[in-house]
Amino acid sequence: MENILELQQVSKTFPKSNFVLENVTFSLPYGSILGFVGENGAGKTTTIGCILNTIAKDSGTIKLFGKEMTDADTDMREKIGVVYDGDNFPTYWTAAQLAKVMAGFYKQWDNILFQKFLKEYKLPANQKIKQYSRGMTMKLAIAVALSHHPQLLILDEATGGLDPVVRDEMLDTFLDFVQEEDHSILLSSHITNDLEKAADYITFIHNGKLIMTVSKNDLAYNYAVMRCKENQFLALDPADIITYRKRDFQIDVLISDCKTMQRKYKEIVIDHVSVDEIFLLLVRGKHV
Amino acid sequence: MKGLFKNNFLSVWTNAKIFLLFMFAMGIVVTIIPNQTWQMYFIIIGIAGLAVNAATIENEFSSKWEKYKLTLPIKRIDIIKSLYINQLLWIMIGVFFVGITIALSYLLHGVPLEQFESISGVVVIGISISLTMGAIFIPMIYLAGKDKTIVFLIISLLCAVGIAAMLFNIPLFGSFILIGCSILLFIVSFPLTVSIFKKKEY
Repeated sequence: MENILELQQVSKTFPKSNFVLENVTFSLPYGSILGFVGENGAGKTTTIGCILNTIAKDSGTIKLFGKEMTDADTDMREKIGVVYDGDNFPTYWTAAQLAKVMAGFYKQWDNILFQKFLKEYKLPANQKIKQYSRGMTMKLAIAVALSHHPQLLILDEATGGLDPVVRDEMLDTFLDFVQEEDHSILLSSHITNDLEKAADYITFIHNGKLIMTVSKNDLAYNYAVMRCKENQFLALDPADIITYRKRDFQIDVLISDCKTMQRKYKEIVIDHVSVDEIFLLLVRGKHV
Repeated sequence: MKGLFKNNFLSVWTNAKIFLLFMFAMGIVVTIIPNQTWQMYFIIIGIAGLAVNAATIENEFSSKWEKYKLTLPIKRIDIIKSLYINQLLWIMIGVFFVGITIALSYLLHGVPLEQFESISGVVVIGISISLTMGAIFIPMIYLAGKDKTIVFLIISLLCAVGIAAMLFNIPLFGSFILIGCSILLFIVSFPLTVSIFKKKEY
């Protein structure tokens, strides 16, 4: 499958901080949503900064639409819509003023579509953005990102801090967007519930290092947690254990091949769990 | 560039309209009462005040807009170019505004020919302060960040006034040297800001 976005061994260090983004490698195929999961400070925003050239990477390659993007590749940025967490635009503007400014930036700015989004999201066009609620601000940012007909949406914590109703509304918009097979979304979030609903692939990042990229189906059907007693845990084949975590009276073991494990360890309870629990085990669990 | 010009205009206009209102009130007084000292202050405040407004794109930095702009289909050099053009534009608006007011005053009260030289000198000082202030302030703000806006505005304004006072008093060619140096500083400042901004990470 062809990829709209490819990162190969991307690294970045910051002289004034201990944080290091180390050899991040993942790809986003056309027509899909990739959830980029990690705790606060894991490196999601840095990675997105490297993709969008707001941060200069130290090494590695990043290909967008099959090509590395430089500052001069303005045509490439025509095809990308971006939403950051919080205030994306000057708050003393109105949505109507914002539309005029954006029309000056994007060749393909579609004001009719933008007005349609304003109506759909119930955003008053002549009210200053600073008077919008947080949910309204994020809806506006998403409306702007979609109104120039991009192929790739990059959303950095765009659903964080939104109430469940607005989040759900936004996720529906994203799912509509990827109905077109040349459209894709990179959705960074620490709210894994969102990704369970929308993402096709999930990439986990922790402390600047990529833990893994896995398809949501794989996570749902093959990844699971074995609830072991101490003696059961000791009898496990170490090769079957991804990570484990000791709880009060049991040890939770993350596995990646649920059906084989069910056959192999018949007496152990195996649960399919949420992305949240898998993420916690990946981050806080121990390796054998 | 069209989007950048609209963006810059909107950023400056919020404060500029209040300042223009104030200048308009001052302009009425200056037009009605033909006092040369008042006219001189009016010219300097009018030109430099609008230029300060144009340079302090403080609101630009108050959101993620600065970072967001880098994701738009524009080059970094164009962002800086638009700022310098914006600065020049507001200096021209300032000159035009004070020019109209002074012309109205002359129309009402007659042309005091002996004042022409000093009035033109003040216009040169106003333009020079505006150019020098912009030339110092813009790269500084990109180098040090939004937190230092006020302190760098004061520093650049004081430097600009100091340079103007020093060079304008050079006998014979003072005003020419002053305007020449200001233009040169403004030109040199542009590639400096571009090189700072190209390395800037958000």
